[in-house]
Amino acid sequence: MRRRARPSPSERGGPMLVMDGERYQLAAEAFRSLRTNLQYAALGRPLQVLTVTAAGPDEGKSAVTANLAVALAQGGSRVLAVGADLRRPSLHRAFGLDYHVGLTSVLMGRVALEEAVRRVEPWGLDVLPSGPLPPNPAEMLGSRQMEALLEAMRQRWETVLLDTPPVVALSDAALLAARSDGVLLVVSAHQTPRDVVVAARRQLEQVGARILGVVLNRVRPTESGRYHYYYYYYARDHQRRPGPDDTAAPTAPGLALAGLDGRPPQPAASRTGATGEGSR
Amino acid sequence: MSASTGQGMVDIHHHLLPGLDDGPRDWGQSLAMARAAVRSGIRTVVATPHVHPGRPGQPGRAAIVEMVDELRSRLASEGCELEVLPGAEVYPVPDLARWLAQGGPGWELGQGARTRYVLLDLPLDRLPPHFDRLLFEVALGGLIPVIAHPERNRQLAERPQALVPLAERGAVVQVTAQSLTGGFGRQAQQAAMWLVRHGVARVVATDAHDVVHRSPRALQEAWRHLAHHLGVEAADRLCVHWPRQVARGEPLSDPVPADGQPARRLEAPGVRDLVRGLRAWWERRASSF
Repeated sequence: MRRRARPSPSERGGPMLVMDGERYQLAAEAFRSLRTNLQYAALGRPLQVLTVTAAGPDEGKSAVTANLAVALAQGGSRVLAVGADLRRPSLHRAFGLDYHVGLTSVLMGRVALEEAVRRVEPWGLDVLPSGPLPPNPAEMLGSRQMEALLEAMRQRWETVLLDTPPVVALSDAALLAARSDGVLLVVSAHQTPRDVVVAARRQLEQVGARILGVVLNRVRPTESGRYHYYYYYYARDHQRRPGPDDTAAPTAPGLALAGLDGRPPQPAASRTGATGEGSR
Repeated sequence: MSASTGQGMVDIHHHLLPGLDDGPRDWGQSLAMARAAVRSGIRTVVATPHVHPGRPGQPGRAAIVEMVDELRSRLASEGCELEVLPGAEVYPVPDLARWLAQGGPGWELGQGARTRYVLLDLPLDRLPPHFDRLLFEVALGGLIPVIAHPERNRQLAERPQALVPLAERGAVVQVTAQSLTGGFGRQAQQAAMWLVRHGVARVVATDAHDVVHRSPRALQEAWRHLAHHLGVEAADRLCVHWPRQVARGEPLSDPVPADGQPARRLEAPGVRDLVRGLRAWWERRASSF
């Protein structure tokens, strides 16, 4: 992991959370529609434990996890967001917490789950930060203690979101994906090469994970309108379209949930204003 | 010297208390070190006597705090404006986490208000066994480990990159001022510079033991060396801001690689690369006969 390779948008000064306030209504709306999409996806089989991951680093996994958790909590669900990225944790930052007591402290039996979980107001959302970072993250996440802990979480929360490290080159996310009810793959628009996303998908499928779809992050709002949902489907030609927003690259992401199952994405969102460039 | 010469420097590794270790032997020597520190621009010193958990006769927190109090009143009567905080340099014994958890000794650095740091003495030859696991256990106990002078450890001086994952997991890396200026040899100097250049080391401290060979003045010399090579801002971060955060028990602000380059991408060119290059050249040459 290249920790300092490239500052993420939130490190460049933007906030990670967009769900409160007036400023990022477009992004907040996108997260609410992501929530709706998940509810539709859950019709077949219940989705209680969700793994949020990405192919590579710096795609905005933690920001998506945090905002989705808030959106779910706002929808009245009892939600726990877990910092299961034991390599480079950042979920805690979205909520202004520190990570020194958390998941690993619980796994090592130092504190009880109830003590380590932090309640974040005003959303009534529960957050379990990563805890101190261990030398053997994959081992810890694959341990029997982790399995038992996930079971305990299922008893107490309606939805558990796991923020994990990137799936390519690290086994952590795949380990958790195999034990959760579904996986959201975050893809940063204009950034992640296509073959990397395909590799991520293959890796998740190998462990039998149920990929719910792709969350396309950092979509640039174009000058042509306010509401644009791009659907990502093996898009080859996400060329940059220079626009007025280019310098202030949106830390508030445009989001879309799209299928990765070989079929064109299901138009589940209310507004499907995909442009010719995005949907093929 | 310009006005910005590292004023208000904070030294988090300093054997200032007399009679506890291989530092000053009496109050006279102690006070001489304090005066030298103030003269060279140090405002705050964390007094860090050697502590070896499990050995008999080790000073506990109470004893250290008591001596710090006495030193403070002696300094005040002299009109010497040096702030002194209690601390310790703890030897990383295998069951260190258990010792620290017992709480009694309380060997953390400085004021330990919100974030508590503990300074770990690194042996000069080898790394302690399972060092990464030991750091994790210390962190599980709610303390942030500060690794003292890794550039003087033979293993790490050869491969300072090995510290990157430890720093990424939250350990703070402290290099010694004299290493930066070459006082501990070329290899230690190169390793120390590599660590500060890449934002791995966050704190420079004196590890002062006396006023002659390992003096408090080293910090100012290190500041000048850093300012010359990396700029005044980087020097201030390493000698003033970050050490102050450690001493005050505040979380460290984000790392800034001094040259703006990511730590992992650069590998220090070492002898090994040279040998590899030479071998490749020799093989090409041999095959062309």
